[in-house]
Amino acid sequence: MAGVVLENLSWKKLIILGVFLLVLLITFFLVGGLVAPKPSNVVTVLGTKCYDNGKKLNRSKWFVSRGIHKCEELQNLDPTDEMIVNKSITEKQVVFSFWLPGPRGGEERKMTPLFQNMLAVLQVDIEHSDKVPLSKNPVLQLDVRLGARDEGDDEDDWKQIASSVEDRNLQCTLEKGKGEGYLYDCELLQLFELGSISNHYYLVNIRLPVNFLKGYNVGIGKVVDISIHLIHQNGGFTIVWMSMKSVLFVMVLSLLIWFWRRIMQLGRPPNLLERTLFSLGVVMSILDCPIELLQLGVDIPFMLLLNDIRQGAFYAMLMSFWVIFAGEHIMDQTERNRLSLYWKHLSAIIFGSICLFVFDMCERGIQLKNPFFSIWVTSAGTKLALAFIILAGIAAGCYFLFLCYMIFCVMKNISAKKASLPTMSQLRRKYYLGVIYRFRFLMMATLVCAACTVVFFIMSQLNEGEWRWGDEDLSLEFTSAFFTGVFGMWNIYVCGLLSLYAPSHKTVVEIDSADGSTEENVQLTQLPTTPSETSALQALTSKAAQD
Amino acid sequence: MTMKRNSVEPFLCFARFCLFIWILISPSHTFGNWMYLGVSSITAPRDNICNNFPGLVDQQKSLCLQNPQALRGVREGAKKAIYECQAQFSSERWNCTLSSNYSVFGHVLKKGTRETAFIYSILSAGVVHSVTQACTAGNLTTCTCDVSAREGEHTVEGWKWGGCSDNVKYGIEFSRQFVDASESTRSEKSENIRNRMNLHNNEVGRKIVAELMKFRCRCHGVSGSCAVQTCWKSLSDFRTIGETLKQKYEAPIRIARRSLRTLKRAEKTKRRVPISYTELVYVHRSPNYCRANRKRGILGTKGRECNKTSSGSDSCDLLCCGRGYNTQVVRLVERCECKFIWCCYVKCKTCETLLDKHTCK
Repeated sequence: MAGVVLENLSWKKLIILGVFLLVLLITFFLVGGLVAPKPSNVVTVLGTKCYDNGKKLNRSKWFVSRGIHKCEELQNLDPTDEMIVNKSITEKQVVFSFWLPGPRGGEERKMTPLFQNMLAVLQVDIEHSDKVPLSKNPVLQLDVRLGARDEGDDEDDWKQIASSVEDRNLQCTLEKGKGEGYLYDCELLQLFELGSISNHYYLVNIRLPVNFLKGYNVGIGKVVDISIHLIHQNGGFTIVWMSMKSVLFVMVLSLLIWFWRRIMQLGRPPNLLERTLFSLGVVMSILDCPIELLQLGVDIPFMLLLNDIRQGAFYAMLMSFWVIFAGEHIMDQTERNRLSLYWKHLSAIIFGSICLFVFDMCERGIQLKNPFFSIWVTSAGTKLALAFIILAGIAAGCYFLFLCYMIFCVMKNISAKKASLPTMSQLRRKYYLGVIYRFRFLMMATLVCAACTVVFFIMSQLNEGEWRWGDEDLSLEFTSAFFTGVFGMWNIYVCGLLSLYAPSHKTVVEIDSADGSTEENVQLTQLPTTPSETSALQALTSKAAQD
Repeated sequence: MTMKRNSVEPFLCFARFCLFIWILISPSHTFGNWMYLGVSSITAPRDNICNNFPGLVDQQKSLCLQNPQALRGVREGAKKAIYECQAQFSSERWNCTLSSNYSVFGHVLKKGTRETAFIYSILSAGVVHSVTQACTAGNLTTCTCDVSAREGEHTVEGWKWGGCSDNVKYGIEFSRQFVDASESTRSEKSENIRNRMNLHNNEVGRKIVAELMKFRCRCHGVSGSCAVQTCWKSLSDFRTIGETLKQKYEAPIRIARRSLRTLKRAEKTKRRVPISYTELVYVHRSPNYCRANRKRGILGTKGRECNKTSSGSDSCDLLCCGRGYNTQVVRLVERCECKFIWCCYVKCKTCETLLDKHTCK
């Protein structure tokens, strides 16, 4: 890279650009904080205990918790309860029914495609009783069905979406000193995850069949209630997020086109760094592309998976860019500008990405078939998932070691070069100063962005995790601001790179006007015509060695 | 026309005066109370239940008429609270005795003792708990959906834009309107310290429910990572709420009878320390619950079973108030070695054990 826009930009222009980007960033932050609601909302629905009075187990019948087809409700599941004793109800006749979402303000609430996706987790309330304690590591087996219906449909026309028999490990604890009648503190269980919301109402029917031979649902204690916590993205957040993505998409795409045209104008094949930067822009614009909007019209269940892949691809590309950027600025004798030189670093990235991809396919890929599936529920699955994640973690660790080593090399060379700068001819000094400046600038920008991300992340986690009772007056929605702010920041980062690290047209002119020795002038004016720039660099460095 | 009015007016005036006097002097607690909902055995809410139910004040009646489903929540809440009160006080000298008439707790509520404080707070908490649960179960369709005012709501329905507020908010608001109604209507007329004590204790019950809510979080970011985390609060079980209120009962604050704007502590040195809504307050000292006093509705601890080995409030020393105890050997037939199949099947063996039973003299 001979000269980039950054080097030839006057301080004034650079500051103007910086202020502009900063204002843009603050705008994104404020849009998230002031306009958007919380990113996601939780709907809690307490299960209605329905009595299945059929003689035979009829799995195709729906039990609805309210409305005109409301099932016969059991008030209490206590063995001594009048109704249970009189009708000698068994566990096979008890169905927990959930109509999602719940009614509010006197009318049924409807789900909408704006919610994008939903995740349902199960909370099981188990009462402690000294006579029937919880067994060790009990397995809860859920015979579960998920149905859906639209507003205009017939009241009992529930269409089945999925049905499955799922095992979940119960992990419950009871505080010391708490006896009869206290509820165990049980960990939340994953129920299902849907990648698209195409119906208004969802109905979940859960049975807990007991199987003595296999030991299912035997030692689960006195299950008194089950509730579902449904987490979905907020519609308002989706609207704000999509608008932001559309704006950013246009911005990145137009910058990308400008960048590529600039390189084309150079009349030489683009070098490695330019190609990497271009790819980074491409991946960023793919991530920005608001394809989620399609979900408003079409049912795309694989959207969650696709978003994960897009985001993963961006991370991988960003990491590759950093390592290549550092490598290209190392300023040693080696001939660079070849991708194959970075095979160690890139393979670490690719290996890590593949691990995460496989893990994601195992989790969300299978969820496309069976929304109740979760890799974490079985011990083998947990081990497999952990193995993938640990491998990805090791790969990331290796990558960072490589990167740190590389940055160390660059720093070392920079200080070495700096020491010998006064002895160099003015042109060469200018060249090296440019390289150092470019590197330092990116380093600073990256560190600032990374630090901001970490700080925002911690703040949003604290903010979310904090006990926030009664401070609804606070008008800044911090979690949303974090998402829009950080996403906007990395977009601005890429935009800044694309615009500042684009090859400058001024280079040749300025070098011509520079009053260096004619010999060097010849070498440098040759620059654009040389097939690879670094060979010119090398010529220069070898010259420096001769000096 | 004028004649008629003239002849009626003195009577009306007198009637009003009588009513006023009656309101002033009559201890409302004796003739029925909304708490009776918790012990009555009405199952289905009938049309006229709101008007005919003994002890509901006007505001409660109108709330009930507006929202008949909520009455079931109140009933469940009161029932739950009374059950919990008896469970928490099963080993105390006062064991949350119910009276047989409409007043539910009988003479206990007449005086502003700490027992009264506990009753008010737990009943108020019970209403919050049950109404919130009814909202969550979808049985109570009128639960409000408050959304914080933000832009964009005008074009998109509030719930679709930003979801609904917590159910417990509605539960607390409902409890405030319903439970406090019987106090606030009267306190306008007279600065009655008892009303203010009850109002304070009602609020304590609600605050405890809100404070004890469990905070749960779930991560659902990229590939299930914690980059995105959603947290929410859910009700804790009523046993824990009862236990916490019992702890508050152990260390209540006595308030001065003459408290002007805010409640003041009776203890002179601490007058200036404000009273928070996490502490129960009382006016009168508790009577001695040891000996039966029919006039004051105290049953006494005679005949109560006590624990010889314990050192707590159920120990024979404390429970029998030093009167000593009788010991008899009883054959206890108990269910043991139970086999439990969820949900509804328990098969137990019967075991016989010989046991020393101690009862207070």
